[in-house]
Amino acid sequence: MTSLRRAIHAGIAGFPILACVAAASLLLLLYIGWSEVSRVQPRFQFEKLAAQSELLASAMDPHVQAGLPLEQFAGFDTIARSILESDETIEGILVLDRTGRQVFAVGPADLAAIPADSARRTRQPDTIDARRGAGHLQVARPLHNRFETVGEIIVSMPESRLRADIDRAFAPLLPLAVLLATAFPFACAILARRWSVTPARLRQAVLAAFFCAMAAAVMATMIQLYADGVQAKARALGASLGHRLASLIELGLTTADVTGLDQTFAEYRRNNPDIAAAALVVDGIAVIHSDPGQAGQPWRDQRWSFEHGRAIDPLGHSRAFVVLPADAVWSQLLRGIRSFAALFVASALLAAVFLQLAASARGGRETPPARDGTAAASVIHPVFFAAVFIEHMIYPFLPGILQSIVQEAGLGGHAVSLLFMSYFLMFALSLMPASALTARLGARPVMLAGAAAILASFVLLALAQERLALVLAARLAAGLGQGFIFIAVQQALLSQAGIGQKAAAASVIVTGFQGGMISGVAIGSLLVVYLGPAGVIHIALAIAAGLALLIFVRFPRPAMAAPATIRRRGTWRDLGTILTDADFLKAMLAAGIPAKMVMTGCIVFALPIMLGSAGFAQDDIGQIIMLYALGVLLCTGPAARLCDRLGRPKPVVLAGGVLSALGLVALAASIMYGINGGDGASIAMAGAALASFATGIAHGCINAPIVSHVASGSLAARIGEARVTASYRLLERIGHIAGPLVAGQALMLSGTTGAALLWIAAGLAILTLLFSTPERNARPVPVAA
Amino acid sequence: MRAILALFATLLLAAPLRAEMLPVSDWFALSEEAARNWIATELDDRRVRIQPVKAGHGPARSVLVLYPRQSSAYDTAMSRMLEYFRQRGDNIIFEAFNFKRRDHRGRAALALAEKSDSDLILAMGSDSVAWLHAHYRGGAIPVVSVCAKDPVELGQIAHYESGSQTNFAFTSLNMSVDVQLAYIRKLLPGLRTLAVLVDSDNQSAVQTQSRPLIAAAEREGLRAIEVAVRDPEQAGYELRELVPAALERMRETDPTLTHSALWITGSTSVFQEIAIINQAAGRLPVLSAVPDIVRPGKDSAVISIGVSFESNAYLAAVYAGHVLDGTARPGELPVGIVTPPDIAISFERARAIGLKIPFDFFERAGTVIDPEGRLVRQGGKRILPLQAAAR
Repeated sequence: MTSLRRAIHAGIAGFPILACVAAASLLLLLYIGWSEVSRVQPRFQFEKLAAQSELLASAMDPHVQAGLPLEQFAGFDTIARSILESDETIEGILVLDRTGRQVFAVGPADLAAIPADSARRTRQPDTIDARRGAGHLQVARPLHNRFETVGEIIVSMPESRLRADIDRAFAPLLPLAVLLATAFPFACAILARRWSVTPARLRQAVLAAFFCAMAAAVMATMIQLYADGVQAKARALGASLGHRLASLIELGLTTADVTGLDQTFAEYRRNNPDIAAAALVVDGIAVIHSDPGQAGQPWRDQRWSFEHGRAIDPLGHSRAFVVLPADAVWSQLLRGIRSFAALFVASALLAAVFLQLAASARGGRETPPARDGTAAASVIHPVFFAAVFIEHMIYPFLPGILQSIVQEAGLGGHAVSLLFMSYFLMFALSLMPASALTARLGARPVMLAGAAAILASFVLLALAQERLALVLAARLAAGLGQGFIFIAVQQALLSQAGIGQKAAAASVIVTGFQGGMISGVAIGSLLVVYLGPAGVIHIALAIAAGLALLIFVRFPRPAMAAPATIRRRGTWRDLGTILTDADFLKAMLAAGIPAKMVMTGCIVFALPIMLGSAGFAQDDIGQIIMLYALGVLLCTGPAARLCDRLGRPKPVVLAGGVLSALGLVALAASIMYGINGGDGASIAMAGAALASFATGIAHGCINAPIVSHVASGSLAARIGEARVTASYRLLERIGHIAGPLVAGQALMLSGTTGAALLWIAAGLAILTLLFSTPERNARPVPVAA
Repeated sequence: MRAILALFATLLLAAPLRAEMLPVSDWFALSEEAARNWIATELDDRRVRIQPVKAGHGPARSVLVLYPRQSSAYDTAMSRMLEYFRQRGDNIIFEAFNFKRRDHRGRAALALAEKSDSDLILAMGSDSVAWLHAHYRGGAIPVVSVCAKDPVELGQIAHYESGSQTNFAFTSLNMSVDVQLAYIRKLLPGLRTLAVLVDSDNQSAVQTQSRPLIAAAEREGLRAIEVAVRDPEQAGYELRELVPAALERMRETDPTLTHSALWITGSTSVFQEIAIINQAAGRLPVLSAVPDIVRPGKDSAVISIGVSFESNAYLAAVYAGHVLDGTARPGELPVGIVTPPDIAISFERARAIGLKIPFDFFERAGTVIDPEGRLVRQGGKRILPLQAAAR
């Protein structure tokens, strides 16, 4: 108790900051979970509404197909009200004729169909239209006779009801987040007395534990909500099948009067692949079963499954059962949770950045008077992360914006790619001037100029309003700003690192970039659902302003003066020297550039096309590619540490080259397997995910270590590490540009079956073999302490 | 005499199932529903003008409907088309013209259509279509056929899919024989022998129904027998001998007659003798292409698979709507064939002969007679027990 009091007294001044950091991290996680459920849950609701619309349609179709006017259908009220009574989330059901005139309605008097052209629409199977707008979720199920569409059934539920259910489920998590955030500094203080680790490590460990606890609570809530959604669909399906059979009984007939019920059940199962079985049970015996082998057997409650039965006669002797296997529910849940996993990683990365910012704010109190380098180091990572984060926040919708601008301007489709390329072009062109400026002025002014350019780019984008010139200027400014920040950060880090720590320093860049990219894309694509593109751009603008302020306030002025090793010589002139160095060329052409080519050409460009052709779902493709980035992110730190420990980055780069080639082979095999579809689809998905992750790990072994490799070569000894690395960074961009060209040619020659990846993997293996040959002018590298 | 017989039979058979028709002239009547929404005025003994009670939207249009004679089938078809155009909210004035199959009256009708700038001619019945096809093919006003038999079998158009390439758009009262046979084989999976009952004097029935069905059955390896009535006025007497004789022939390939069936074509003189046919057939399933032959009571076919006048009229109205809207050229429209077909089922007869009906037939059936012989579904609409009893 005494130690606790002492600890509290010792760190009391920092408690509010730590509590705020924990609160920000945990609330961010909570918000992301809530948002993800809000995004995914409508899909379950739409499927349920579609099944309910089918229930009414199964009664109306015979009437409509006989060519009778809609208004003469007699059973609407009975069926519609029974649907409303069985599901309290449904607010009303409408039937409209072909002109949109309301023919039947139950529910509120002011309930209206969302016009198809003003709704956010997703098409469900069998042409059922899912519409969202004006505070409602609606499905529109067309009614066709044998000649034309004569009207549609609208089943509607209020979005407020869906939100209320989600809010109610998440409500207990808010006090939990506050409680954990409050407990965080106390836990740190208590554990600091027991564990002999640095305060920073301790805070990271405790925050990670709290973060995981919160994530477990969020996921449990999500699972509950998803399971409810899936079961609601099963109930609706059961009611729909029961209603079809009940029509037989209602007319005084029995199942003995008809044949083909077994085919009807089998067909029903085929049309609803989620269900495991459908059965007609009479007095406990399954007289009809979608599995013919089960017909005539006593009906037993199904283990590990969800079953829903509906009586089809007044006495309940006969019941129609629909069985949903637990694994169907779990696969739906897994799909939802996989999306959440990407957001979880993004929020964890943001939490780490929050912690670094807190450390930066507390630096003066916690440690001895900080050296300029220490103060700068605590700012560099958040600065770089934030810069990459805001750039990637807009990527989920930027191509769409550019496309509409180009169409508005009456330009051809190629103009979109040119507009998109303008950013990368300016980024590449800015690297050399930025390097020269950093050498002359130090990192701080270049970093500030970069932040100002990024801020300006978002101001221009916010004002652009689809004006081509402003958008082009915005993209050029963004490329310039990102290039300046990239070089300033790189040189600030390398100037602080000892010779044996170059790879570790370079890894900060790689992890910052990959982390910022993952977080930016994941959170940007989530926010755009709620805020729209303009809202996300405004948020990015605010973060850009904060970024500039952070650099201005926290980045030390004198610290980043030009390192003495950098000679004042024209940077462009270095290229002449560099391009005649055989070792440099070998590293660049056999390891560095191929890795970048694989990244842009195979992973970003060709893989979505090939996976799409093999029948992979869009969100699966997104997750497979995100796993690549995760692999890079997770491997970069350990790979850098391994290089520093070995004192030689080359073995790590070689391992990366081999693994990269194997990863491509595995990706090709998964695609070829996936093309066959059927039961192999899930295996192909798992294979592609693993292969993508392995390729990411391979590139984690290359990205930072290859920089370290060239920075520790004989050329660096002659002209300086900074110039060699700056030139390398510039030249490796060739890989970014050449990747899609090479992959595109391979696709044209060998199609989208995955064979293209095999050819590229073979080329990669040869280049890796070439890289493994000894250097001509090797210099001894001291092993890090 | 044949026309009188056909009229009598049609009225007799249609009476229990059809809605009440309100006469406007001695050759033109409308259903109660149509009469509520349209005003029909007899202009003279050959013309009736029909205009909406409430004017619709869009440009005013004029449509000539060419009748060859009186027929309750045409009244049903006309009422159905009027209902369709009311639902669309069109602003159309129809002029029905009975040309009584006489050339000079037909020419007068065409002159009237051209003088009044008619936007469309609806050719009602096979006779009107044949006359217009002979006298107005390539004319300026588009023509859409209604309640007419298969134009390909009748040589009016070469192919079902290609369109006429003239001012004619055809629909057909017949369904594709291949589709018809597929339905029959689904109902009777073990079918080996099929006897097709037809009036040999009714050339259109022979040409468009009996012969194509027999040819299709033989293509599929079935034994098909044509049972042809020679004198329609003596059809009952003939059928008393023809059906048992046919059964004897069928026993040659199917001794127990458990894999055989009788198929009644749309020959009025034949299908009006359903009681005699049922009696002679015993437990052999009696099927038909005529929806109206399935009706309450024992004198009914067990199932009909064909095209009703209402369905054909609906399709013709859809074609007419496209032509009037300018969204389709008449010469490019394929022959309009109703699919899936109209199905009517008598579970009273099915139980009597021990026949089970495929569940999807039951779901699609527009007309259902329950095991007690009551009409419980009509036009796809459930009929409550009290209504059924009243009928």
